[in-house]
Amino acid sequence: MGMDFHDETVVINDILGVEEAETLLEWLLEHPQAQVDLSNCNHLHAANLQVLMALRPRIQAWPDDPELTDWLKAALDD
Amino acid sequence: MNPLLEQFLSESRDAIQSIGEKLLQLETAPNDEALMGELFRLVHTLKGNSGLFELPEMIRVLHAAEDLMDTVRAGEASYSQDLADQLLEAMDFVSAVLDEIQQAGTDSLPADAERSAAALDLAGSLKQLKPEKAQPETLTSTNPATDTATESATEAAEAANDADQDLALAQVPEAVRMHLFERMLAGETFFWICYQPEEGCFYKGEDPLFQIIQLPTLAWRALSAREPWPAAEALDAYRCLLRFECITAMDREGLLEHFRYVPDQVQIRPIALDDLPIPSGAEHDAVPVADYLQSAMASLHQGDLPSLIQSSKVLLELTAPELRIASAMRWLLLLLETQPEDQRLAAALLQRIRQQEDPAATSMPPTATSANAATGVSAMPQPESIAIDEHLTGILQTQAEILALDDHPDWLPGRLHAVAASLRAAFRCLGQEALLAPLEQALEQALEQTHPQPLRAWLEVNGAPYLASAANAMAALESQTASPAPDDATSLDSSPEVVTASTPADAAASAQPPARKFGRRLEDSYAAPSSIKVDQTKIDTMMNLIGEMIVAKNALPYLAARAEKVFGVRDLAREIKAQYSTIHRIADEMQDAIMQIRLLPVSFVFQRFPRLVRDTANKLGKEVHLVMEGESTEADKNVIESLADPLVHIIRNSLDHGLETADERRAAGKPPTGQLSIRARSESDRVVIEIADDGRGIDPDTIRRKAYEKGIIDEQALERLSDQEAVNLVFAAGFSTAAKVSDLSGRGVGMDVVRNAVAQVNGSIDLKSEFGKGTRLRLSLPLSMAVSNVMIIQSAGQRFGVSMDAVAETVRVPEANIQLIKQQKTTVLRGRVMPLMALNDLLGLDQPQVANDDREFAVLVVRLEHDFLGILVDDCLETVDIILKPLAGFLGSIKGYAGSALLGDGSVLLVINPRGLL
Repeated sequence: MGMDFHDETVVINDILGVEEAETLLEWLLEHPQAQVDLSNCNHLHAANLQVLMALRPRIQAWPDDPELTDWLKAALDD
Repeated sequence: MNPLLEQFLSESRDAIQSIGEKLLQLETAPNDEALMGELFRLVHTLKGNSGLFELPEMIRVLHAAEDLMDTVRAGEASYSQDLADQLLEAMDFVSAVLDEIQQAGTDSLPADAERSAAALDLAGSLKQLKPEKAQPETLTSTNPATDTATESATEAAEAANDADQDLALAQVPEAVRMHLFERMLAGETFFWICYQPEEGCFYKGEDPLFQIIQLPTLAWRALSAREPWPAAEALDAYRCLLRFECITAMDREGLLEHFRYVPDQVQIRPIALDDLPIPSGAEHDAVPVADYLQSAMASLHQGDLPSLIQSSKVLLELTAPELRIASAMRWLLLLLETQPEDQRLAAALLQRIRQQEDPAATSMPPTATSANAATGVSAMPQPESIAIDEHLTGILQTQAEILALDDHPDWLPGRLHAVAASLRAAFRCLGQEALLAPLEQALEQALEQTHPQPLRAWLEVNGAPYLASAANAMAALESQTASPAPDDATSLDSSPEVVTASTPADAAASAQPPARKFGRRLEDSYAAPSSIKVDQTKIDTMMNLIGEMIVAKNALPYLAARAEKVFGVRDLAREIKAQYSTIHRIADEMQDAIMQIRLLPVSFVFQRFPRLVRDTANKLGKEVHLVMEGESTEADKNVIESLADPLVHIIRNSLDHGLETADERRAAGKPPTGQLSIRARSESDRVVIEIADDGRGIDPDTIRRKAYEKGIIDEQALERLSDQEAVNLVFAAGFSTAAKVSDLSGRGVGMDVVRNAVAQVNGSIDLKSEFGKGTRLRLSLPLSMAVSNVMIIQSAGQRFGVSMDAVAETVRVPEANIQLIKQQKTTVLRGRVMPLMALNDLLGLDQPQVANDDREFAVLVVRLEHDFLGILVDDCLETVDIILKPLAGFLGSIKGYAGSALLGDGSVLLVINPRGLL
């Protein structure tokens, strides 16, 4: 569950709930060069997605779930 | 129907009625703040309650009502007749939904387009009454029609204009659009969805991404922000700015169902074939298109497709593929290839190219698109000269007349389909295929509203050229139908029709709102409630009255005795007795009936246990399986209510002290999940509740030691106590076995509190425990405490009562059989030594007990916990039913008496509490 923060990467596991959005936002603000690893992510709440859309960190890996990936790519992939 | 829903229905009806009353009261006192507050509270409660069920429409309406009330309460808006009307109408709607639930017997009503539309409509009207100060837009327009139009456009999902969709579809990649086009030609239908969750949706527990991800078979999707993202530092993660757009093959019903909680945040529009061919790409100025267009139009007109295809291919090869004109050529070729016989779309596309690429040459008046956009008329040039068959005109006219009919038969959808089919055929015959897509839209809208209005509007606009002669007839019909709806005028502004109407003149004609069954008034519904609510004091009064009646009835045997003994009329005495037995039977039945009213199922107390057990077990890190049986067992309200606290205490004890953790259980060879069972059942006139666990049980040795340490028992007792007696020590005051005090139990106010609470309602408690295997507590309670059966005894010339519950038996003991052991009178009864006490001694009466002529004493054997005690009295008399009144005031502290009662002959009977005497 939740997120693991590494030096310049955040790994998102399983389901990222709405409460985490604030944490994610703060961490991304502190780490402007950060990358996001979504490969283990099964779902993330729309609030988190908003944060990613607004801050545009580089996505290192997309989720396995094709539906989720399609939506995320529609939002985040330039 | 589950009990919760039943309660909800009855409470909601009460609330609606109160709301109605308050509104009417407010009419005479519009400035009464207390009333207003009360009204707000009622609406608020109603909304909160409906949140327990799946009733999105109802919540929507109530939410709007609550918002409105809030502004009024805050003094930002003032109470008005309009406001009251709207609120009453909203309550009528809620009432109608409640009726539907009652009929369906379930809270999950199927999605109903009419209901949702009515809800949206009402919520919209309510919202309009709110002052606009919160709106950021500056609505400076003085024309109210445009104001409401903008308002409704955001409200009504269907009402946004086509330009929006054009824009949206233009961002769909050409390849996807072409693919869609081909699939639509193959007969599939697609919907374009734009879902814009409201800003505060995260606070309502919504996850829009999850919502949209559930949509299957998406042909295309886009996710964007409604407004530019603020600077990263100023970003509010919880203010939702997302806009989801997608194209799906899912059907409309499914989509409405899917988004039924957020219908106002979703736009769902069908995609028509002619929506798709939109040339997209970069602008250019070097390509000479004018010549091409001229020759292309000519070829198309003459039906010379090969040359058109040829010239288009040439142009396509000449231009860079990313240019817009290349895109247009690709579309044109696709159209010609897939639909060679139908050149409408191709012509429309050429027209479009001309507008875009060669604006100077276009002769199309620019207003045509904007004016007709709302009704869905495409930008196609109207064919100037089409010879219209008079039969066709006849068909169109007939359809117009059918649409103008003002009745609402059950077969209305069928009729609408029929009209649409006729129109479809007629317009295809007229060569106006491009108008068919808007026709389908109009048909769908009409079906949704179950009102012909959208179709009528469509026909008025598109059929006008052909119906010049028929116009008069229609106008006549129109005026007939428009008149009978003046009282709905307030809700007009919000109805979506205003937007679909193309010109102000049409707006007036189409202003009649869709008739809805949810608009009916409260008094139209005859749902008779199956239960009534009665104040408890009224039932208590009845209870007291029947009690007095029983007492009065009990006077009759005395009267009979007097008639016989004093006046010597034996016959009269017999008749009185006969009459007495009749009255006795009726009074008994009546008492039963009244008691029934007060009965509650034990589930009233039980229902909180699953949660309690779950939470407590979690806190303690134990796994517990809860079994509950006999929740429907009934008992008197007072008894049930007095049970609540003791039961909670017992269950906490079981969970805390009784059941072990999973590891301990495994080590003891038990399944890791502990079992806690709560069973209720009736046993003759008592309710028995058993709470059993398969935990570690109570160790009698620990109890003995603890009791000794706390000074509850002395050393001798320590040796003497049997295991069962030791276990019963947990009921002793000030006893707690827990090694450590947890926040759950073990504060020293333990089982003695439970026992006292149970004893207060004349209940008894019984504890069985096997060390290592589990504990079982058995509570036995009377069904009712209202009427008690007592035995009347005589001592020192006075009469006393003793509750029959306590009396085990009455015996006569010869004086010779009474021995003195250490100053204590005892006798042997059925092989047991039984202590005897004289009632006169216990009551401090200075008289010896009187024996009968055979030197035998009357002994009342009473049960005290598990011991028997013989009480010597002068005589045991009959048993009577009495209403026991506890002693009040200074007498209340006298423990020796349970209370007093009035006897049939008018004397007062004191009822002894044997336990209190000792």
